[in-house]
Amino acid sequence: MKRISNILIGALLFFVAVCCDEEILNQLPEDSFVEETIFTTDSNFETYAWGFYEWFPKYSTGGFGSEFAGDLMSNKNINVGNGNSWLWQNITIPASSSDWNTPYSRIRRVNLMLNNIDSSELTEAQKAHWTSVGYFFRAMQHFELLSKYGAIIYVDKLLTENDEDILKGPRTSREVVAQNILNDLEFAEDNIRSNGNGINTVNTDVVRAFISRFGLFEGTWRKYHGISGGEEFLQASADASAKLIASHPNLHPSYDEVFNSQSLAGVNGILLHKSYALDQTVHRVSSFLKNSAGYWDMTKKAVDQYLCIDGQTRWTSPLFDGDSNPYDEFRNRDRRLYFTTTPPFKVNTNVPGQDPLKSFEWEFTSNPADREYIDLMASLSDKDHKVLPTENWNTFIIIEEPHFRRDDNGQPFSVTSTGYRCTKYYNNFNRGSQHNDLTNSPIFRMGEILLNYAEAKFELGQFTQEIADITINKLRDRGQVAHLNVGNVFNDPTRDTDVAPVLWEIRRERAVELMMENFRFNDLRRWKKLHVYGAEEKLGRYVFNSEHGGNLPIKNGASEGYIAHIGEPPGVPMHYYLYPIPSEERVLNPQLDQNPGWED
Amino acid sequence: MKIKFIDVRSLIRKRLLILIMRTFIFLLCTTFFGFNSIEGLAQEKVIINTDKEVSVHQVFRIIKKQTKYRFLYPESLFIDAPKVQLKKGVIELSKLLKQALSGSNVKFELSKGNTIVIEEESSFKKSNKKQQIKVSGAVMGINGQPLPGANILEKGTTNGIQTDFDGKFSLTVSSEESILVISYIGFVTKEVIAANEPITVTLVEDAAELEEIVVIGYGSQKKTTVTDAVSTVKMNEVLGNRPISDVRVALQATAPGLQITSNSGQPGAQGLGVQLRGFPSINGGGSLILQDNVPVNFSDINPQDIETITVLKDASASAIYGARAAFGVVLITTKKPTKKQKVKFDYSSTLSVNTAHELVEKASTYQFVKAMNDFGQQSYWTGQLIPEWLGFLEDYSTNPSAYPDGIAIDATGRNYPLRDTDIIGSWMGNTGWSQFHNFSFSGGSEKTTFRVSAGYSDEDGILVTDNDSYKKITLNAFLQTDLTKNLTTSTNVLYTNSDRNRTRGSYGRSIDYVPFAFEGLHFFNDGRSLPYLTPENQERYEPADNQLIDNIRFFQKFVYNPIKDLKLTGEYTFEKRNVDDYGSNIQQDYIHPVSLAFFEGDPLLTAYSKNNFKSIRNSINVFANYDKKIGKHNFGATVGLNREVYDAEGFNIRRTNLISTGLPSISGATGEITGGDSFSNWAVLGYFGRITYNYKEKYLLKLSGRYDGSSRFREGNRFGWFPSLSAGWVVSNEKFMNNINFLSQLKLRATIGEIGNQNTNGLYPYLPLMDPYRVDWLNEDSGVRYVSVGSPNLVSQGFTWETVQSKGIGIDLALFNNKLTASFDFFERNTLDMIRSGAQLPAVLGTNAPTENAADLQTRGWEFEMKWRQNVGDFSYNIGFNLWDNQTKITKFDNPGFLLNDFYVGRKIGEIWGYATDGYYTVDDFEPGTLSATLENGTLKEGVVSIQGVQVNPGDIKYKDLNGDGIINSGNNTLITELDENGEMVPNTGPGDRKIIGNSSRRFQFGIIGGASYKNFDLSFVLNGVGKREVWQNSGVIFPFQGQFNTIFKHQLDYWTPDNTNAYFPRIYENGNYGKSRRTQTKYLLDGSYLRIKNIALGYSLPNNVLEKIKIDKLRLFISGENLFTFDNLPKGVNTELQNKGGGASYPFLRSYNFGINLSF
Repeated sequence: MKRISNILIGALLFFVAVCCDEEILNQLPEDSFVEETIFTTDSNFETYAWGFYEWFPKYSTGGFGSEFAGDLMSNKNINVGNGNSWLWQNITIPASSSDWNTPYSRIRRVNLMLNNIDSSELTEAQKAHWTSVGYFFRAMQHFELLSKYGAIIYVDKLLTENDEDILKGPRTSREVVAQNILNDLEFAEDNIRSNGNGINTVNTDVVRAFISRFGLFEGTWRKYHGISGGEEFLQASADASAKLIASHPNLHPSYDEVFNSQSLAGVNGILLHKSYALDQTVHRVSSFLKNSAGYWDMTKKAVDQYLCIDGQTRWTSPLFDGDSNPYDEFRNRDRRLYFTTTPPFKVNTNVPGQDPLKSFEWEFTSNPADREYIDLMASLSDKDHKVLPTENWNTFIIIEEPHFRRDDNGQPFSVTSTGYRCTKYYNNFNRGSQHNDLTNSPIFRMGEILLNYAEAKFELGQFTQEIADITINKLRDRGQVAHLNVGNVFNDPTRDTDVAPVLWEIRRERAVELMMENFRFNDLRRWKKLHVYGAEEKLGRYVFNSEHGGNLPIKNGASEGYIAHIGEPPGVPMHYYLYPIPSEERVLNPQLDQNPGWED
Repeated sequence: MKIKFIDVRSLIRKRLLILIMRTFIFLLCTTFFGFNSIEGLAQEKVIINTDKEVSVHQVFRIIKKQTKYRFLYPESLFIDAPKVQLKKGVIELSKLLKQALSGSNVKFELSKGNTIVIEEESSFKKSNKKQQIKVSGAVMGINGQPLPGANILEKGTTNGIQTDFDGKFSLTVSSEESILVISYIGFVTKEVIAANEPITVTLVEDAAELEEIVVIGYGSQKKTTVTDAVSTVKMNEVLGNRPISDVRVALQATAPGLQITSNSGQPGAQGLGVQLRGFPSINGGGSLILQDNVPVNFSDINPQDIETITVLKDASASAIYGARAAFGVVLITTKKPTKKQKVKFDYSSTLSVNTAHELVEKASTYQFVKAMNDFGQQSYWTGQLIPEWLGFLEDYSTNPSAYPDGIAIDATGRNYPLRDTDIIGSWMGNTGWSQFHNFSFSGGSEKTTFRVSAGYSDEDGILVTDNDSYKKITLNAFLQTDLTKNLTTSTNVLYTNSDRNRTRGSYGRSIDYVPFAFEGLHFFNDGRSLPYLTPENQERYEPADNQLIDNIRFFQKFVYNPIKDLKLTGEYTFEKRNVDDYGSNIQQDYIHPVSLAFFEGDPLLTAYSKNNFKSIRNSINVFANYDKKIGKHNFGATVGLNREVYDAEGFNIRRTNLISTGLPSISGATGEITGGDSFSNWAVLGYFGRITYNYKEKYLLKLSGRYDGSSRFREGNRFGWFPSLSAGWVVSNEKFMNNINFLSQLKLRATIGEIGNQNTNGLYPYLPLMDPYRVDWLNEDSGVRYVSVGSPNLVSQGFTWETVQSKGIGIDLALFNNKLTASFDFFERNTLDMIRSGAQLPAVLGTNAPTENAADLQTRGWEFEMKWRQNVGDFSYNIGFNLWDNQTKITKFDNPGFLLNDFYVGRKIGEIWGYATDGYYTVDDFEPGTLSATLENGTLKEGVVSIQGVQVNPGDIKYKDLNGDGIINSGNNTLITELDENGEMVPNTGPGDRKIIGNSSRRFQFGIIGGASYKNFDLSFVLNGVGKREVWQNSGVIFPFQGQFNTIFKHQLDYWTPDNTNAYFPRIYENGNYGKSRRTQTKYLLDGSYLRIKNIALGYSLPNNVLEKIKIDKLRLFISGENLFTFDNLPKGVNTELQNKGGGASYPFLRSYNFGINLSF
């Protein structure tokens, strides 16, 4: 008995001693890393840097918001007080905004990498490459901020909570920020690996493409907003573009397939694109054009930008047959129009004996006019792309285009308000399935570079027929439009008299080529034309209301005329050229000035 | 022995006297079981004529003359007794007797026939010393029900036994005169004299059970000496045979301060929240749930295995459990077998029928289409023209036979559905059946006891199919043995296995679909068919995802008494938990029930996935308890250590493109395989101690403390010391309270203490971690997304424990012979140094400010509890009521700008900021002639408040211009409106026109629990409720027709139109300002208060005489109803307690009707 007690007490003491080992409190994570383990080798830097690639824009249904704040497109919410807040002066100062916050969190992510390059195991060449990659992505984020807010707080180091002089400091001037961005990009251009980190990665070409875009923006912004020093940026843009044009002389022959291809890898004229794969990452931009959710419409003005194939405007060309009939309006136009909005047609879907589950069948109507563009598109495109008639996502055949929301033939999908449904991203790759679109989205493409080059050269006073031929005219070739002759520009009666005729044609080309690619709003801003063009009424197609049950809103309530939903917007006030700084940021940093005009 | 009968003179001889004496003892033991104390004589008065000195015999003679009492005592008893001094006057009989007998070593008792028996103290023991006898008998309650497990102890010895299941016992005692002490938890202990004949003892229930033992941390304490805020819930009182598989449901309404919220009625009771004494910390934190001193999942325990649940509310009570006990501890004590008990079997079974407590009801098709017309819609999004539709519906209502399919077709071939369907009802309106079975057997010998129980529940809810079913099996085996005289070991193995299905139906669709959405199958012209995409069909055609949980818990305990009063305890718990989730995506083909669009499944996207999560918990507790009584001083001390290590690991795997959707598996798929894993582990190590002291159980004191370490902090900041103190004063034990007869107990308590809270965001908050993740960018070679690592957060070096200080005072009362007990507690709890990002920093930083111990909050509240219990003959009843409240506010927070999107000093938890509704804009608010024909785009009159960024129209909600600037906006989202040097408001500062319009915290929560029994019938009920709460919801169930794909409910038909400007809902119009009219505001704030009758049960026990014939000890039949009625101020089907599972839809509480039996043999 006594022995048992002793053993027990001895065991207990031993046990207590074991239990008291505080080593058990050292619990470390098994599936996470810290800076010291990540920033070591070239391949570890690469792993970290893949996180930057998510910041490139992808095809997203919400991604066209800025287009609706421009003059060439509208969405279904075209009424006063709802949507189109810019043009209707309904922007309020936000408490906080991802426009402001997101770039700064990304800049932090870049600066963390830059901060660890010196202490890594990298060779000098590797260090130069990763510094370049970091500078490129950091410049992109600073440009996002600069473009929206003008002067911003420039951050080129890894901040901690103690860096109050920056966190709660004043804004860095536009000039300094822009110069820093350019410096970062020029370093990157010189030091990044020419082939990047493999196929479809940031390389010398991609850096140049971004310099081309940024330089044009900053150069023209300064010119039209009365800030000096723009020429340097225009020159940088032109230089970068010229190098790219030299190394990428050919475009993809099909305008449509730039936006509707299952793979853009290795395709001519594509500098960087985003790939999609099932169960990995998908988009639904094409699906939205084939269901009832889209409502991405072009305005009458947008369609009027497209030239006739003789290179003349619709106002001046003898080939233009008038716009009171949709078939007439589309005849002999820039082929890119047919790939951007669906040409008109009408078919009969009441076919006896068809399989009700899947392929709805159709036949031509008795009116031969209804098949004009069906036949044309059969020669211009193929079954995966833009042949007519169009289908909804479920392969239901659309009976007719234009297909108005308020006169939908019992087909509530694929409808339009203006009569010009923007179907640039429409394709038939993924029949019968929604929201699993895999068509690759271009991020940097030569089409834009050519336009940047033409415009920068013009703004520098260096535009010539030779430049027109390697830029504008190459793009016109894809639309089967006659060349621009710099010495003999057709007069556009709708030309903005502030804009020189050649520049007007360069800008037209830009509007047409880059339709619904999220450039127009910023273009209008840098040209300082948002307050002018934004105040124009967004009209739709010319219609006879009696053919639509009287359901369509027509300008001035007439029985025929252009569709007009909500009247003329008041146009943006001048302070709308810069975004308002979020109010919470100004509470946290009293030195952060509000942009002028937003105080009250 | 000589015995003398006073006043009967010496007529009787010695032998006869002995015979009478024996007869008397016999009668005493068999019949006169109820000796009354001397207080029973208090009413009788005796008159003394003059002051005099008399013998004890003479005193008796005086009493005999004046009263009906007679005396029986041995003649020799008062030979040496001193004389008694009598004073002239009236004296109570009891006092006179006390005075007369005070000089003698005797005791007296009142027996039947007004005979006062007087005997020498311990005289029973002296006689017949060697003559052992066997006593047998039965113990029963006042209604004659046997009391199994009652303790029978021979007084002054350790000789004892327990009653068997029939309440019977048999015990050999040292003599005929031995006194048996009979005790049973919850009953007044009684003493009887042993006898050769079988004896029957009836015990009376102890109304307040003041002698109850309360389980406290690493020990137990007499309830009378407890100084903390502690509530004890006896499961048999609140659970009964309710159809409950999770004990939390049963705990609702039972303990004041313990908030149990449930946000779904789905079987398996997920979404149960437990919060003790209000909002804990901005970092979360909850009560620690312990079984055998080690954390446990509530859902792993079979409620029927639980004996009691003890809720330790304040720091002083829970401090001994350290870092995780900052917000209270819930101790679960399971049922334990008793020694020397014959094997006993118990079986109970409940069968339940479940229906939805309440479902929302959609408006009819006609009402919906009429509303579209009222809203100015010309066509519906599926192509129908509204005016035509309305015409068809009117025709259909008078002439339904003209539309045999319930569909009208117009000249252009458009379809117009006319018939009402019931998308919600056909999905949720079903009847579910549940069954609950529990079986246990237990028994015990001298040294070993055991209890084995098994529980099985199979619950099916109200959804069509069994996709909402939950099955659970629990096995619990307990074995305890005395290894040696002073070493006891016990082993407990607990196994739980549950199988939970996951529902498939879309809650959002159930709400959004219009009242004419088609149901069932869509038939094509060629006779083929496809299901409509309704929630009902989703349940029917897609296999349910499934979760299997296995939990095994092994508990080993040694208790060693090396010396008297010292107890050493070692406990070891090993728990292994395995959770498997199986899911599949079979890409079923459907037809949209409104647009008739065809949704084709994509075989490439079919997939099967498996997730596994396993965790292991190793816990060791070693502690020593020492209790010592020195005179009137009672000491207790506890010291020990607690060590707990938790390791968990998970992995998941998924593969697409199933070969067959009927047999989904990873091997049976051909697509991409993706997978991942995760790890988490932590440890705590704590040393604790406690000292209790009381003086005569009158002055109570308790000190406890714990030195606690947690792996969540950096070395150096890892340990914290957390002491606590509590004291009590049992006022009723004071002499000056002796005369207050109605008061049985009055105790005042006060506590103060401090505990650490280790709750942090993540397990390694002191490390700047970079977690891998898959980026949204494809590797062009492999076609698979790249892996990257995330950016680390800023981490500061110094942070450590949050400290939770709590102070409380309380009072316990027992009145009217303990029939009424009540207690009241008031507390204040300060959660200090809460870990959070330091002062909010500008977004330029690019990440959140590093975490610091930077914020404080304070919770104040009170709890009141009252119980009444009474037996009146065969009728006994009890009723308990509790009411409690608490509120939390921020007392320190670094938010100098008082940004409303964050906490700030003074902010109450749950605050709802919103606008004050000021009716609607009317036509008169606009300049005449400026409004269009559709009453839009007008110009507001001068002086009429406008809404920033909104072109308002008549019928839009108008908000009160609280800051008087003429325009409605949200300011700059800060609390404080800035003033310029002239005292004028700086525009766009402060909260704008918003104010605090409500609070979503539950206030004045209450519970009412009662029961009654009469003969073989018993009845019980449970009610609970919330007195005050506001809730903001902006869902389709609250607001009608929020968009073209939404619908309208029956309670939403009162909407604004030009002819109905006094409507409840604002103007709804295409592309209109309806969204702006739904800003958070006073008008549509929901009242979250309610009273719910949770359970009513009625039982009938078959009489014993019937049962004896069929050899059954007990057979009880019962019926009960769960969630029978709710009283609230909400539209039908809307319940603010329920979780929004999409579109405002929720899984309603179940109303169930139950039938069952209890059987013992």
